[in-house]
Amino acid sequence: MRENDPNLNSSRRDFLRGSSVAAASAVLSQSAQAGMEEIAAAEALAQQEPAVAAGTVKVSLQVNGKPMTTEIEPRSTLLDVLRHRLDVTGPKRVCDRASCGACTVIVDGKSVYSCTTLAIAAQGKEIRTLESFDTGPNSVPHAFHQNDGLMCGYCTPGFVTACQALLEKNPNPTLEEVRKGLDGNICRCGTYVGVVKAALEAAKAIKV
Amino acid sequence: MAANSWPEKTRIINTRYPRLDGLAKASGRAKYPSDERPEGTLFGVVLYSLHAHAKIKSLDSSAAEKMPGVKAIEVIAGPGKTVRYHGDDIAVIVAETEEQARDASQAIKIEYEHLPHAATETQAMAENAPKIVNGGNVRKGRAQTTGNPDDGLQKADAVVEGTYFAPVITHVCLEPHGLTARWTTKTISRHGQVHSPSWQRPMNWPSQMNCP
Repeated sequence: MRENDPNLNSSRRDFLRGSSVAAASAVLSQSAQAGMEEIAAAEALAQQEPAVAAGTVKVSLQVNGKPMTTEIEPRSTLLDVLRHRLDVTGPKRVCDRASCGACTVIVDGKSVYSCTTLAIAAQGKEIRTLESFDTGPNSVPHAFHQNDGLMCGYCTPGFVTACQALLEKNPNPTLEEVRKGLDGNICRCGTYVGVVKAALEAAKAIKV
Repeated sequence: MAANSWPEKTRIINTRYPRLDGLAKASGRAKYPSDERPEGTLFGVVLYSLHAHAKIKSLDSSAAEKMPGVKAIEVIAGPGKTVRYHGDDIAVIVAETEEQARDASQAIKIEYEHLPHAATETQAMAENAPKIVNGGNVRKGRAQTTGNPDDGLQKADAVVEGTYFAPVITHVCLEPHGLTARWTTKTISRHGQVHSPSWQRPMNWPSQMNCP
């Protein structure tokens, strides 16, 4: 579950389920005409004089306990600023549209998709990426390693971060709660069995 | 990161051994090619076709070239070329930041001549289908036959007929394909995402990169 919108309490998948039904019915009712209009509008936009949205602002972000300052465009996402400007490359950019979870970071204790969070909106908040997590025997990264909760490893930072956020809120999750807590992440290697095992073992280990 | 070392015993078949790079990956420390930012890295954006089948009548990138941060524009499908699907490549725009490259891609002016399109396999294989691919939309199959199926079907107690389709299958790995290279006057070091080191042989490289 991601909490980019603090008012949104349902899980991301529930939300997508609802919105995809709406989108499907819109497609059915409006036929190809809507598609053609959309293309015409995009073409009209392309014919206009180039709009330069460029222009930078200075931002200060608190990342992994360190203040970091850089110049960005207001539209830059937190993910792109972390990766491109601040060399914090733990969170990965994959779908760039809040679907896969590889970009997950913790902002003020909540796991969020950094690809759909504006960097300017993250000022004054505590941003944590998995590089700051403990890697010792009683840690989430260790549990993922020991339970082989990864293969190529590209989704892993997102899973580890979502798991860390989950366990900080709920140190004794049930299997169902683990699944719910990690349902905003996708692994294309199919390491889910190891991931869930790692999450449950990490919960046990952290208590020790 | 102690686990990131060669095992003491090299006989490891039938023993459990944690992945050598597992902790590095699970702690965000493993550097993938997409995590490398050599000094002066530029960002590219591809401009894609809005149309399923169209001829490019004209393409004007002059305004885009003058935009802030833009370093180069490579036109893939210029005037006279045909785009054959929604999302076909038209041009690559390279700039100092991704945002600048994206703006410049929107500033390229294109006039299309719309052509009849085929958006599904059935449409592309239909008798009077628009010619999307030079040489025909349907390629010769590569069927392989072992034994005598006709004979077998004739002798069979029951015969079930059906039409079966196989979609294009791709593993959709999350990591983007690519590699990052650092080039000095004497050496090229590169950080690729392939799993087979033989692909990384530097002897193949200068020719691939079209450099002396």
